[in-house]
Amino acid sequence: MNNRLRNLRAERGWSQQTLAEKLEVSRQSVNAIETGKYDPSLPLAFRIARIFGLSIEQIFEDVA
Amino acid sequence: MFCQCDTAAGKRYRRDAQWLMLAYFIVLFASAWAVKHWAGHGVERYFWSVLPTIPIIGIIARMGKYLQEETDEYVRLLNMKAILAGTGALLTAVVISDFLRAFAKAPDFAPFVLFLCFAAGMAAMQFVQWLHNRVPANE
Repeated sequence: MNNRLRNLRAERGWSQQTLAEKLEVSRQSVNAIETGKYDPSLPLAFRIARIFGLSIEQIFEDVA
Repeated sequence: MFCQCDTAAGKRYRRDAQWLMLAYFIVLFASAWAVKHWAGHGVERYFWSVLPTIPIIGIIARMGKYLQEETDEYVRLLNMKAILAGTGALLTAVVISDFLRAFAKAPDFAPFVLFLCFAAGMAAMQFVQWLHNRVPANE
């Protein structure tokens, strides 16, 4: 699954650590999601979408 | 040690695991001394022999509690994979040992080797995860 997390974070000038603190996860998790190593669960995807004020579909793209 | 993560649950786990390890070493030396100097045979010797396993079982139970408490789903997944790798290594060693003993009449592994297999499997997986998940410092 592709995502725009890195771009959205960069637009806001947030570091991975800043985003990790907002999501209450580790920086390792943010990095894994950004690099496509890990697809977040639905609750975490909703939290990400809420923080950026977007819908899940605007952040994550199903490549299948 | 099993969990190197800095989440709140991970910190609580590490704190408890350190206390349990301290308890383990105290009980281990006490048991070794008792068995050598005054614990005779039978039930008393069994008691002192089994006593050091209690903190170890406590650490295993604490691992389970940690996995329940961990709220960072990615970190939890990594730790579950590490435990699975350790369990896989342990079961592989047990199966090989059992067949060697059954068919080749080979001797059993030395004491504690199987636990080392579990620890080695877990450590190997954690090393692979560390290589795979290195986070650039400037992000």
